[in-house]
Amino acid sequence: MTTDAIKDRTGAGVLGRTLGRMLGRQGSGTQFVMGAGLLAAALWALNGGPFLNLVGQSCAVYAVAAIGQSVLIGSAGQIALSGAAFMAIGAFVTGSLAGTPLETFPFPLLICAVVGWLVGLLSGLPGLRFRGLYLLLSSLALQFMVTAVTKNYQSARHPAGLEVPPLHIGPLDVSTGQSFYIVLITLLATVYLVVALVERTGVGLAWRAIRESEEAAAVSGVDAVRWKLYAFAMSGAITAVAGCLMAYLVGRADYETYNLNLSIALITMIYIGGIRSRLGALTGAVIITALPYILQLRLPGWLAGLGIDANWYTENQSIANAGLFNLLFLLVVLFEPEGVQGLLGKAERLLRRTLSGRRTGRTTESPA
Amino acid sequence: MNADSEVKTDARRLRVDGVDVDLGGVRILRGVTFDVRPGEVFGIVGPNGAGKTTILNVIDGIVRPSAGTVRYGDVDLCRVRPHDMRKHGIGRSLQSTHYFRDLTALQLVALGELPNSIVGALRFAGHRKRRKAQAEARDKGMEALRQFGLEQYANRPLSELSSAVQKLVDIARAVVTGGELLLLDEPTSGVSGHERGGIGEALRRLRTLGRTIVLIDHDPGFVTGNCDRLMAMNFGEVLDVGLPDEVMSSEAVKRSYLGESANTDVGIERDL
Amino acid sequence: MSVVAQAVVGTIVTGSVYGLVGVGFALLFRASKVLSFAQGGFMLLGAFVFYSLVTGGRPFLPAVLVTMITVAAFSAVVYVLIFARVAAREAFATSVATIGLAGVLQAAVGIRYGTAPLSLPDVVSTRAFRILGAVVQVADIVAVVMAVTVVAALVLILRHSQIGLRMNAVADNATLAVHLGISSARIATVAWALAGGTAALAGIAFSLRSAVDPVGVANIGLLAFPAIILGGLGSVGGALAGGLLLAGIQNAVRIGIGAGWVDFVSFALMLGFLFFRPSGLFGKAEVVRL
Ligand SMILES: Nc1ncnc2c1ncn2[C@@H]1O[C@H](COP(=O)(O)OP(=O)(O)OP(=O)(O)O)[C@@H](O)[C@H]1O
Ligand SMILES: [Mg+2]
Repeated sequence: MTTDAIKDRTGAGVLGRTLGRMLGRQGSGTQFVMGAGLLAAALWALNGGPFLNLVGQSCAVYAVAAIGQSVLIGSAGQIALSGAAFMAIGAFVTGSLAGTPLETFPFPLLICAVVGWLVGLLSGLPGLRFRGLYLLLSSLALQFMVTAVTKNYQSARHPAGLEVPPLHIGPLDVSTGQSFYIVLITLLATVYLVVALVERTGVGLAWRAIRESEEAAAVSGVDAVRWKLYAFAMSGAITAVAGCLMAYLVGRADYETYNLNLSIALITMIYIGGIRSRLGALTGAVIITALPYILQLRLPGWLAGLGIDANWYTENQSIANAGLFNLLFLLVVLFEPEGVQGLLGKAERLLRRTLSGRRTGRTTESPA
Repeated sequence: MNADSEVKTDARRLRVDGVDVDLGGVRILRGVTFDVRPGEVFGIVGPNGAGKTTILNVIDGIVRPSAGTVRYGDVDLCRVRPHDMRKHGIGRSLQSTHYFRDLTALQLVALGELPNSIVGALRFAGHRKRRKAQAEARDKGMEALRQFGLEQYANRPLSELSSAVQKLVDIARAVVTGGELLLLDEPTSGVSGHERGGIGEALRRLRTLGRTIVLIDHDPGFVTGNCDRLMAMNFGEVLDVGLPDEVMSSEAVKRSYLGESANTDVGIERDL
Repeated sequence: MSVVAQAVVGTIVTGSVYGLVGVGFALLFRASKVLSFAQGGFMLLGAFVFYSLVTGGRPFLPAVLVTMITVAAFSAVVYVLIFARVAAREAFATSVATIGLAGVLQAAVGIRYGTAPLSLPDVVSTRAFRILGAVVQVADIVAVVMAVTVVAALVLILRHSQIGLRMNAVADNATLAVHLGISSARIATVAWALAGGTAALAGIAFSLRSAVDPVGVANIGLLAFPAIILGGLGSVGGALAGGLLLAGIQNAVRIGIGAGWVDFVSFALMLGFLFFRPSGLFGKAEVVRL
């Protein structure tokens, strides 16, 4: 390829045209708005001082976990309630590596990914026999079993939780503030890209086919069992990595963090953001992670402004937030399964219709 | 195409012999026996719930018979898993196409040649519209869409397409999955009268290519006009097998069709 | 000896509570193929409504009745207002959504009553008997009697009443039942009401023994899952049997291995059943439709 061709491709005119073509598709506007919003939020959190750094750090960790869950639930369509179990596995593996030669940074991450992959494969085995409700129940069983094992291990050996040393990369201390945030965002971007690339290939196609109908996929020659197992494994690996990062974020691994409520919170994230895409998972993770901070700061003021007594909220903040998220989850699952992305998509369609209707003097024709 | 015509010569016959199927404690097929000669179009008619789809499920490995055998050439199909059927050249279209919503036509058709190995699938690109025409020409999926005149729908989600087009895309998928023996489950159901022509035409083309076809349809007129031999069934049993006109005029078949005409319009949508 | 006897008594009582929650699951599953995660939430609601009534001075029996009716009505209303339209189309999405409902109920109760256990005034006699070396409180007997009565009544209703027969028809073949003119929405509403009512009773039965403990109650709601899988999803009698069996196993584990392993063994058992015998001990083999 000549340098001319490269120059031509990156020329502003071509870029503009490509952008125009990309934005011409229904749904691309939504993606653009969500992507830009997330990017802006990420930059804001980077430069907004220690508190925003901290919020950004949790958002990034939960976003990794949400992507892990969305591989399984969103892409392959296998609903499971065991996200927290995999995070627990990641956190406890990281905690147990502390003090061993393998505690140097990339090792815990890699080991978590491998262990998560293997446990994910195991957890997919029940999926060979059944799906739907039974699979949901088997993932619930896994969640409780992992909680029990980590709890017993913790109370026998480290009653206060397993300590995790501050994160160092080489000689650099990157355990707090902006530097830790940058590490997390980099990892998040890597995970995001890897998943995006994988889903573009035949693997993603197989997952989508299974999600829509396992029998019909099988009739087409897709080995549903095998691809389901890979979805479980990949989801397990990513979620365990999130657990590892969580352990670094909190500085310790404690079984109480990784209970059923966290699993539910993780599915809530991907449902609220939009079950069908990774962008949705990211959005949901940020909403669910950041909202409590916003509510804590603002809600009492708003309620007081409306003349409502805010005491019940300030006194029961975590319970009230949990209730609110559960309510959101309930409504989204029942009435808007595509979450924020679905809503934005609807708005976009409406906008496109009015715009093109005005331009051509009629509404767009229905497809053949 | 050359490879295809070679396959035809080592003549494979599909033999279904004494098949019983029990599901949920109910006998759904009883002693079903027939065989399909290479290169012929074999029609199956029968009222709702007669067990036509179940026969295809048995051939395709989705339902295992409780008695009897299914052989294709010298392969015992009862030992082959559904997704391996394509290795034996068997493709299947589905009765209802509402399963796949988000997939585009090209993606659906590409499923038929998606490798099941991780490396193969990671390198697979048959489901993506590509820039270079040569790269695309290597993909069976795009080629099959072109054969059926569907390339303009390649990147449209299936849910946006009319049911006639959906059916055609699904037949194209079956052809990509396994071109030698095609199991077509009601290709005209849900398709309006004047759109059936296109599907009939596709069938005739497949037939001239020498494909062996098992064709199920509700509409006796459509089947008799498009098949070499016909099997009529009811309540999970074979009523008659033979030339289409003979079968349609046999007493047992007439009776079963008159008898069921009262409830044909119940039309409970059944899976697969 | 007395340890074993005490464990047997504990098994029967805890098992009855599991059974009471479990019959609600079974009813809902039969009527609408929905597996409700919200039974624990309704239990909690029942326990606290009951608590409010008795601390307000109501006598035992009226308080139980009012609680049951209130929670049953609430459950039916929730179904009609929120779930009905979706449930008819998608049992699975509805099941997933009940996870959210459970959280909402738990939060509502938590905000209103706090999360620390509340002790009930003596609503039933605090007398205890000694049977074969085991101490049996009146509360225990009341809990068991409630469970057995409710399960027996439900089994009778399902076998002999009009609504029960219809429920069976829907459970056997929902599509056909619609063609026979059975309104599956009405059946589902009744099932939700019954499930709510029985869950409330379970909440009361559990609280009578000790205190109204939100965490404990919610746990029972989740531990009922192994119980119903053991008994067989959709089998009302099986739910009670599964509850008793699970409670027995749990007590054995508690004595033999240690309390820390109770949850582990319960859910491992559930996983084993799901894998090797998904219809449970008493359920009908579920036909997986292609
Ligand atoms: N998995 C299953 N479990 C139980 N019964 C089944 C199952 N699949 C099909 N049946 C029953 O078997 C009978 C035959 O079904 P089948 O789908 O083969 O009929 P069909 O001839 O294809 O009917 P249609 O013309 O409506 O497509 C029906 O009564 C159906 O209810
Ligand atoms: Mg059929």
